[in-house]
Amino acid sequence: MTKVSILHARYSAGLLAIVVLLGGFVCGGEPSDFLPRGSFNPLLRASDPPGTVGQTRLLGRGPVVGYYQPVAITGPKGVQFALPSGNGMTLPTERLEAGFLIGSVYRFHITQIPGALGVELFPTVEVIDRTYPPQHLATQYPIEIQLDEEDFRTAIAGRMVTRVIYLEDPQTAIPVQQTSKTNVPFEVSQFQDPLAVADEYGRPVAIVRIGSLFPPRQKSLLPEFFFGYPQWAPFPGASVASSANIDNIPSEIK
Amino acid sequence: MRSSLYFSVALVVSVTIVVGCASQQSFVMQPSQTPVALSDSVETQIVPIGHADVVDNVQLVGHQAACPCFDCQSTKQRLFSKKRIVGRTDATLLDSGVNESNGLTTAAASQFYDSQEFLRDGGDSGSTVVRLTDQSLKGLQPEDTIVHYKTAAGKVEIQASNQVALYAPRFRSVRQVSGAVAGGRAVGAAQMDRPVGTVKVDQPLPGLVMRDSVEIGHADVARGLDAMRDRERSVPVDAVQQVNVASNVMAALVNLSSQQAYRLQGDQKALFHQFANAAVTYQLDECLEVAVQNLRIPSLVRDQTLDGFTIYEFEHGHGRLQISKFADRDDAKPGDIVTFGIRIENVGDGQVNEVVVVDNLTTRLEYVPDSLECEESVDFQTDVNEAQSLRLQWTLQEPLEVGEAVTIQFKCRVR
Repeated sequence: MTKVSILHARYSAGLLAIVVLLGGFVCGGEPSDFLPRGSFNPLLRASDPPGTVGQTRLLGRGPVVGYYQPVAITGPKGVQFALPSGNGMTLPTERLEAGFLIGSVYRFHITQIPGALGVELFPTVEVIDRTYPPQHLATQYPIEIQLDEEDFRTAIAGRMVTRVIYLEDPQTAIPVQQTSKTNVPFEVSQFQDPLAVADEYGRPVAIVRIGSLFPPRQKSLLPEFFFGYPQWAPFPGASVASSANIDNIPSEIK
Repeated sequence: MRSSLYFSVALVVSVTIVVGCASQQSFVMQPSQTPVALSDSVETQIVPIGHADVVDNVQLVGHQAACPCFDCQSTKQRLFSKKRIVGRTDATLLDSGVNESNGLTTAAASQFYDSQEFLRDGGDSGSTVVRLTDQSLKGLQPEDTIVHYKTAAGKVEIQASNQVALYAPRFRSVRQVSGAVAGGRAVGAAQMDRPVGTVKVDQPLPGLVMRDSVEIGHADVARGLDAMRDRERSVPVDAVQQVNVASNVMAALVNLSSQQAYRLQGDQKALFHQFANAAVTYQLDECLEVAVQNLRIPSLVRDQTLDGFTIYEFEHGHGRLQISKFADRDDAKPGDIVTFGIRIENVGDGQVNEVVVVDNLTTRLEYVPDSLECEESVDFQTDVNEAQSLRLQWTLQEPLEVGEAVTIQFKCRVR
């Protein structure tokens, strides 16, 4: 409270609300404390198998089938991202931009993790809903997925990180300018469903699952590991040069 | 009423003479755009994404036929989808071209929008703003922009501006950490008794494969579909009674017809018959019907009626303000600066006093200090509102005369 009180009066109430909100999420509790508020159980959860939520969205209304939703994935400075392309991976980049089909699951490659050089992660991203931008603004306003070191550190430790990205409701938006430092995720307990929590604050659009799963050694199992290599679309003007072979695939699976 | 009818009929007669010849051509509907067939030139104008540096000198059509890659296949699908994509550039392919490959057109997608992706400012949303006797405002929601003033007659008026929408989606995330470390459980056999040797070899022994079995502690049995009885018998209808007033239906319709607004009554009928003989042109939506003077048309079919009639009465000397709001851009990312402008114009018949403009900024708009620009002298005041932003208020020091306008500009940073 002392720190909050010395801040500018304009932000004091907003920051206090954030502290209380985050404190409520971080603090532990009995599993019964996190029971659904209503007298119902949600049909879909973030813990469902990858692709379940997105495929269910395809059955809903709206032009979602066959739409390539632009997505941008960023991380801490220096972290490199790559996507499967052809027989290998695309060239690593610090800002991975691509159009993903809704309902498909894409596994991407993370390298150059700070504090864990040499360690590689293969998380998945599942686009479960789309945005409706004005014409020719789709690629300028992709779904921004910003990963941080906590995600990587937790995944390397053997645990599973599930991030649900949601479109914030401007009516209930946090009155703080969004930067790379202020864009911190809400932490929820393991007894809560992050998809349900995200649904309360906005419209969930993507699910990122970060674990420590590594590609299988046998090449025949790679399509299953990469969820069938679903199609994706590069951004206009972006170079999609990729290795002709699997040189940038870890040596263990060659 | 009678003079206006004279005038209208005379005007129609004069128009008939002038446009008589031209009206013959108006019946022929020319299509605005003739369908454009896909030609070779269309194909050669398309460059697949990502192949500009790979297939620089390769004929695209031939390459598409052989290349199974995604870019070429999506382009080929785009050609077969018969969408007119002439003139599009690479910068629009992902926005519209690639997404047309599966039948999803931009036009179809533009029918949908999500208000959560837009940042709105202006108007009077929610409850209507009212001004209390202590000059305070009630019902002012975030995003609202209004002006309140006092007319020369001492009447307080409140006018809301138009709404400005910026495309500014903002994404956040919810994180959950889970794993076997926190909630895992291993199920295995604690011990297993298995005979050794030839003892009891005639008895069946369990296999070595252990499977976990979960017993049901409690089960609620619900009745299934077998509890339903199918009813196939017909339902007797002989007990249905007719409506007693069915014989009066036509009479009711007649009464309704007589109540329509376009029916002429009284002396208007006589006037109508008098001037109907004088060659009147009746204009419909899409064509002109011409009648020659002294030849009565055999029938007259009108498919339009008057839906509503509103009379606006303005008091003399009553000032009215028109407030409009605009922004210098249609979209913004977090951190971008947006310049807003508010223009107030006196479009009434008298001056207005005590003009106060209030802009209640929404949560994601942050006023940039010292960014106010106004050509008139105003008192500027800011207050923190319930959306953790600012409520901007400008008070004009001088009355606003008829035809005068004031423009206020300020900048906001998108959070």
